[in-house]
Amino acid sequence: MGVLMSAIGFGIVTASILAVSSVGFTLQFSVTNVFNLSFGSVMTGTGFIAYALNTSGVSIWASMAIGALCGGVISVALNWLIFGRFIRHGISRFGMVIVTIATGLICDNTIQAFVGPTFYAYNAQPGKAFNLAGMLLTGQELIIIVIAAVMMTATHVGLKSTRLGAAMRGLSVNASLARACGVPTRRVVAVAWFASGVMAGIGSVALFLDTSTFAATTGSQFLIMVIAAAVLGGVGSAEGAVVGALVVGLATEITAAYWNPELKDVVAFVVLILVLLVRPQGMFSQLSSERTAVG
Amino acid sequence: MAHSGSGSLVVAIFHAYSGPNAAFGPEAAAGCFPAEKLINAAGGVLGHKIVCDPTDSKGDPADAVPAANRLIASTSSLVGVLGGGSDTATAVVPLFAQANIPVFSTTGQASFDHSTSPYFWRILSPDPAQGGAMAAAAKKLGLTRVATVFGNDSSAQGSAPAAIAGVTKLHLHLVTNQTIAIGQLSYRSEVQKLASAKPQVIISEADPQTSATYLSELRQLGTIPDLITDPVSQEPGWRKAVIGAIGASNLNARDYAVVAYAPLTTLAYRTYTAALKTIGKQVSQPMQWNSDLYSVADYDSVVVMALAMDMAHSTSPKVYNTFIPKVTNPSAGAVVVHTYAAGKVALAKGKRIQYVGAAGAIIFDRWHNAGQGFAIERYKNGNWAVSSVLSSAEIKAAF
Repeated sequence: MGVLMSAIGFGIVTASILAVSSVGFTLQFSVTNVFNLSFGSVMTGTGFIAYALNTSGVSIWASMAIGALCGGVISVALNWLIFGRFIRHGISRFGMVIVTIATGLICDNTIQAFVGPTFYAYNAQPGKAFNLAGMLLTGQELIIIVIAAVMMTATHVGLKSTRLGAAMRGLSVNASLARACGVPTRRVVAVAWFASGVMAGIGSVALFLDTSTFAATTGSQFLIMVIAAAVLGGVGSAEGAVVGALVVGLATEITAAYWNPELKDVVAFVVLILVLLVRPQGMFSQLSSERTAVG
Repeated sequence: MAHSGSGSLVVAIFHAYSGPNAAFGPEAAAGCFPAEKLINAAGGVLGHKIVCDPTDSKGDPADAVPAANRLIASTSSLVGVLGGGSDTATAVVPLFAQANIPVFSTTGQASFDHSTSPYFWRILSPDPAQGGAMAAAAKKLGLTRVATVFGNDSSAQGSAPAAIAGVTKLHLHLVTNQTIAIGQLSYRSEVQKLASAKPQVIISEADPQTSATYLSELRQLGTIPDLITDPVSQEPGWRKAVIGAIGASNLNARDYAVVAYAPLTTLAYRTYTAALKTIGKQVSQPMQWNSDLYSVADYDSVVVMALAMDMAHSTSPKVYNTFIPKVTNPSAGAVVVHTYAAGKVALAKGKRIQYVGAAGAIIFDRWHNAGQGFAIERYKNGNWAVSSVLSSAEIKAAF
């Protein structure tokens, strides 16, 4: 029982880190229909901005907040400078994926040119460990769980109870109809990119705190797990991303605790495939496959 | 990327400059460029200048194979390769061998212990010897409750089986044996299992990020046991990552690095470090590699290639390749030389030579493997220092 409770606790921490990033990834996709594989690079970039602040004496949590805002600006800038232009030129969905991959590679290699092929760590202590019902969690991990919970609640409330949220949901269902109904498409799309970048920033600092060290490619390295959680929950569904992150987090930790740690990713992706066999659209997604990109 | 001028001879530094093993490239460059400088200062090889040419293998076979093919096809003056670390050797050594290019590899993989490739050469000891030496170090340090934690990559898995077998052979208590997937977001469950097994020491090899994450999470559960690590832990990137995770004092107090041993006080070594100091343009902070055995071995590799060309009176890789053991292995009447310049002079006088390099004597066996003894090193006052040398009897007992 002790081992199971520990694994569940560890799984919740992993899920919290993944959930913030996965919701950011999927929120932007649901509004714009751009499957943005440069998301990991935005994570890395904001992680390094937070690092620069943190090593200048700013607390890690303030660095996370400022880094997240910068992430939002970077994300909006990428859409304005690159992605939006391609969308307006009518690029195919597959072509857009390639553009985002190329953008990610450019960003990663540019970051590496500046920071070099070495590792960095935040100046932050994990804090005292607390035993909560058999789950041993540090102060830092508890803060990450709380931040994730607040972000998820805010996203849920924002999407369900505000005019902006209604506009985003409208765009995600039918962009042309939303536009015809007077939804300011460009502004809503910009907000979606901004929110996505903010979540990439928060997710990256949480991730880099968790891995203790990070390098120029760490964000992209973990993108596959972020996408796995999003796909499992149903791409485009914020609630789905949270559940997907929980499934991935718990599956990996329970596999490591009870079976072979070498196979933790294998089990997570087997679960992913099994779920998609039953529900190809993921657990929660209701998006149509016929949507077009919105820039 | 450096390119050869007219008449120059290219030695490719075919290692990772990006990806998880991005330290391998600069590490090898810290061996190649000092050799280039000293060889060219001595007049070059048969009138040709040596040029070290960094080529990024990216540390994985999928990228390394096309890069190797491009290198072979585009560089007509390629005379030798430093490269094929444990991450790519299996894929690229056959390609260079097929092109008749000698490859001085730093791979530790056991599959090369009895390599029949005439163009494969390995100066440092293979991974199984490393693994056995790590187990022998635990015994020597009096640490009986041993845990092994190895990454599931080919580099770490080269030494893992011998380390685990050595622990058993030496009648130590293997409390847990973990093979961990590298590059994970968390190892908390693995770490908790390890902590509950209460080891006195962890014998470990993993890449920087994996080690940092694992040890950081172990630290959160309490005290970190002693660590017995391999030469990877002496690389600046590994140290920077792990220090960022658990602090310098924690790491320095716990870490016992088991490394191939060469007495770093010889004329050859002093010559190497003097040249290393001057290559700041080609290698960032070159002196960080001054006691890195891989860099030292790569330096010796280039000198050996150059001397073999001199002895063969040919820069043709196919021709000089067979002369490589003739300039390193002991033979009756051979003059022992410690630098390229001295070797060149002796060869010009028609003498036989034995090059004893910065890494010590290099005696190739029939499979083109040489090897050194091992030592336990600690990091003190900003430097690595030998704390004790493992005797061959102590290492043999682990096999």
